Amino acid sequence: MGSGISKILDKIFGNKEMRLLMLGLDAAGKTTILYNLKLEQDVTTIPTVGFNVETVTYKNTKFNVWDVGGQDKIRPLWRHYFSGTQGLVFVIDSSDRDRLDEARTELARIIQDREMKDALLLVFANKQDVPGALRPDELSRRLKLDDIAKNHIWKVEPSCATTGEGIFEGLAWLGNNVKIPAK
Amino acid sequence: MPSFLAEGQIPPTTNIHGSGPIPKRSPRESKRQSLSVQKVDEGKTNGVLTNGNGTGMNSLSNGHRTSNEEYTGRRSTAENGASIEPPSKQSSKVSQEKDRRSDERPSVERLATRDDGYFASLAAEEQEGFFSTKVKLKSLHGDGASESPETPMEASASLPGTVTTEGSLRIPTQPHRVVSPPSSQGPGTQALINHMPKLQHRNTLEVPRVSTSRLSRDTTQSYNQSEDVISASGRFSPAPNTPSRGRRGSVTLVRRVTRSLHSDMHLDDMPLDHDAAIHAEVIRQKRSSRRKKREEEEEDRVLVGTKVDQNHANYVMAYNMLTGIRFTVSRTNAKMDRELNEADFSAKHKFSFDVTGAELTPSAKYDFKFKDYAPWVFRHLRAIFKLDPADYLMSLTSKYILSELGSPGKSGSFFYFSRDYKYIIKTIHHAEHKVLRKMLKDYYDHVRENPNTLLSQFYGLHRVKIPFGRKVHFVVMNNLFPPHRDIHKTFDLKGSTVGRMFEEKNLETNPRATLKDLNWLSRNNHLELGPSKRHYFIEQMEKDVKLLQKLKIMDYSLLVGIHDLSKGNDEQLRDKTLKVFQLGTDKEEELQQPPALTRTPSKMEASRKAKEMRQTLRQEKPVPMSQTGSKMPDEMEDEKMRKDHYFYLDDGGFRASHENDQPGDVIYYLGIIDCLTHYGVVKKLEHVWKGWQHAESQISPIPPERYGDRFVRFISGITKSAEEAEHDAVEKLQGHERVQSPVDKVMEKAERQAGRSSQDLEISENAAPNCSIRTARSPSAERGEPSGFTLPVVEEAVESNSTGAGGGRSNDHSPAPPGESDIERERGRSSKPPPTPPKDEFEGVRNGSIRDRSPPSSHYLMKDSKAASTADGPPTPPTSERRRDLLEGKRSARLDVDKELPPPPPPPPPMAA
Repeated sequence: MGSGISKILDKIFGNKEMRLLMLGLDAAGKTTILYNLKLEQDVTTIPTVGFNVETVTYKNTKFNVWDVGGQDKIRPLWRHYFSGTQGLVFVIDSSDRDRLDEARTELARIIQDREMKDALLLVFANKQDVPGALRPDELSRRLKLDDIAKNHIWKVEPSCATTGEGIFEGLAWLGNNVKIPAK
Repeated sequence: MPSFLAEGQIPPTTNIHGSGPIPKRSPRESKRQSLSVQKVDEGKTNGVLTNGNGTGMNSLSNGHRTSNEEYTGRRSTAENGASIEPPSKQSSKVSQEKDRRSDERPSVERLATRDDGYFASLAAEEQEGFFSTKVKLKSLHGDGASESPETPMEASASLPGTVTTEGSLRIPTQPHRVVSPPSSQGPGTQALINHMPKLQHRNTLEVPRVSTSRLSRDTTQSYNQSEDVISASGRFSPAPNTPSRGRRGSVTLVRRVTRSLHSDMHLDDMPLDHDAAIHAEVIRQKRSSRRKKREEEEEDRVLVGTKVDQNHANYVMAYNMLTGIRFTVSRTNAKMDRELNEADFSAKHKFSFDVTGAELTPSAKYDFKFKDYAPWVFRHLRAIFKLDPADYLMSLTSKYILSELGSPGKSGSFFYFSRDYKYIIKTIHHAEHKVLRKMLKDYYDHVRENPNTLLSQFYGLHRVKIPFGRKVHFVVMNNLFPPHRDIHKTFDLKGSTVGRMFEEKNLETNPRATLKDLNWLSRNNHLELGPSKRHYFIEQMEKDVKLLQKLKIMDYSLLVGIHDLSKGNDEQLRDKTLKVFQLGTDKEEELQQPPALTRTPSKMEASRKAKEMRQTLRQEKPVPMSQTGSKMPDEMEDEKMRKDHYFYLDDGGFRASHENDQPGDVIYYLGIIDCLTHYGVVKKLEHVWKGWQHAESQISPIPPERYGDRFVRFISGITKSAEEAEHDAVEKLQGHERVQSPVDKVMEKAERQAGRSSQDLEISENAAPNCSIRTARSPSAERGEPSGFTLPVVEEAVESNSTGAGGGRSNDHSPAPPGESDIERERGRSSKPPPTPPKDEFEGVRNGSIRDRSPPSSHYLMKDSKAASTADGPPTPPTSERRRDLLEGKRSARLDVDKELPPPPPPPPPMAA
């Protein structure tokens, strides 16, 4: 009941809800981004075995953000979070050129999953503060996004999780592009 | 079906041409054979043919590609078959070949459609038809015979009449054909032709198609084409029935002709080719997808037990459990670690899952509610038990696959194993869950202080509830048994004797059954641990039991899995016993199980295996590959696992050791399980009830204090190195010499203690030794089992504890009632039978049990005691000893009888005294 009413209110005021899944290789900065979104401050994190989930409201959109650990051992668990996801936030350590290929493979695997076919794709080119970090355009080229994400709406957003730079821009893009599911 | 008839005819032809032996093929087979034959000819058919069924597929695919090149190949095959088929006067060999080619493709397709070995046999037939190769025929025989239950055709084939049919068929083709049909055929064919016009109308589905093609095409290769047609018909009407055959023979003949006309030419034509190509493509795809599926299945296999997958009745339950576990464990594990506080022990969190997923829960396939108890405590417990969080998550929840252990246990609990056999999910009762939650704090503290505890390791406690369903509590625990070692025997030891016998005769049907106390005793087993290990083991066990006593828990048992290193994994018990665990799965699954166990070896495993291999080679002991490539992992998969647990050090278990602490040749997998039963109202009632029927010392439901004492006594009583056991046995036989080896000192202490307490028990509990003997009989014993050695557990414990001291000491201690010493001695003797393997004795026992029931019980008692006291036993049992055993057996048998009959006047129970 209560949720029904609030949903109606949301509709009246144009509020949206969006379920985001944040994935990426380990140590890419996912958890840091999440808590920067949530708390708007830099927190100390540990390697995530499992997931963190937080709700962030930004510009009329309630983002339900799932941050799932990216150690290679537990990557097979990612797929259990796919269903219901409207936006994929893929976080990449732009300074880690050695593992770009790995990241690309993982990304391709995710967005080619049937359950992710309608999801928006936001790539955070994270750690832009690190010298030598790849620029977004370079990154999208290296990731071959034109190819692997050709069926998706995607964007590469430069970011720095520790300062929060670029993060909300990314969210705004997601909020603007999300399709409101027909209810 | 008419097409089938035609086929049926074909086989006869083959018989004629080739060797007579081609037996019965079902009409279908024959068709297929014909088809395959063509291919075979083109491709290197010979090999295919000889292989028989299995290779059929290959031949098909080859044939397709190679069709152009095949002329030579074909010929060669024909030559091989040779005896029959001198390609007589065929002006147009080329044409034949052409025909064949055309035929080939369709045939390939058809063949592809059938996976089985039919092809080869079919091929052979065709060839015969065309080329009449004997070789092919031979290969066919075996297949055909086995395959086709419908023999009538065969018979016909052998008959001259059949020959005629062949002839008829071929006749039309002959003029054009390159291949020589046997001369005999001619007349027959004519006859057939005559029949044909009439029959044509009858032709069913296939005919129209065939006929059209034929019309356009030439008649030259009627045979081949006819075959093709047949095959086509086979597709449409896949059920070839023998009964129809006889009748339709004539019909088929007619059809064949028509078919032959269209077959060759059409095949060359585009439509058919296309068709064929498409079919081939489809088949190829099917096959590859099948292969992929198989590979996936390989990955999805469970090591042991019934796989719970989507088709399983409990799949939803398993799914919900695993989803819940993944969610709650992930949720907790992602947080920064922190110290526990009081609230953590009573914490519980409720989540509801549904298809859409909620704000804080992911979506799930089913609606259900999940409750997580004390997540932080269990997180810490997992850490104490050295579980890697990622491993834990992955083993349990990466895929929705569990294996289910046959049926719920005695308690009604369901058991599920994680895929890798490391973890057990056990459903528990509400009461048990309450016990666990209540004891959690104590348990946690205990585990922290005793990381080597023998108690079950609890990794999680959860509850799941399906809408309108009941609440199901379950725990995740360690699996004591390793995935990589066969467990040759399993025992569940409690220290009580009532109902503690698994009937040995059932052992044959269920070799993996868990045996119980009386079985243990009857085998004269010991936990063969050398002094240091033994000391450590008993010490830890005492600590653990103390905790349980404090928590008022009872009815637990020591689970002992025994891996015999000398047997190794050769028996593949884990593989074999799968069937035992199978629960209502179809047979096919079962058959596939053994391969199912194969796991793609990890890199580490592979390298290890290589190392093993090298070692074996070095030892110049060649081992057949089949033995090294084991189905189950033979190595500890995860070396980190259990590394720090004293009792799980040796390959995941606890290796037996000798008196000098040298490693023994078995590995024990030990643990105290089922430790969630509170001594509550139910158990108290049970205690009263059973206590009324039996001596209290023999039943399992007794107050926790005494239960624990008895448990410790029993277990420490049976823990001794092999040498020690032997030694003791000898001693017993020789009188009451005491051995004062340093090794024994520790033991003696324990023994004395145990002995004292046992006596206390006896006195306090009114457990008359006699009574105990009587009650110890289990129904199975009455069946003539080697019950002579199965003495009441308590007494056994006492005896073994007081090994060296023997009856003498116990006499000293106890204000023994008259006759007690005798009894005790007797007990001791019987509890430690001579070290000889009891085989013969069993025989004796059995015989005895059958024959002698007459001697009065007092009599046998005397005998026994006498025997005991006078025993002069060399370690190996001489005949006299055996005799004694025999006597014992008799006695036991008698005892069994006694149990059913009014109890015999027993020697005076101490209490009475």
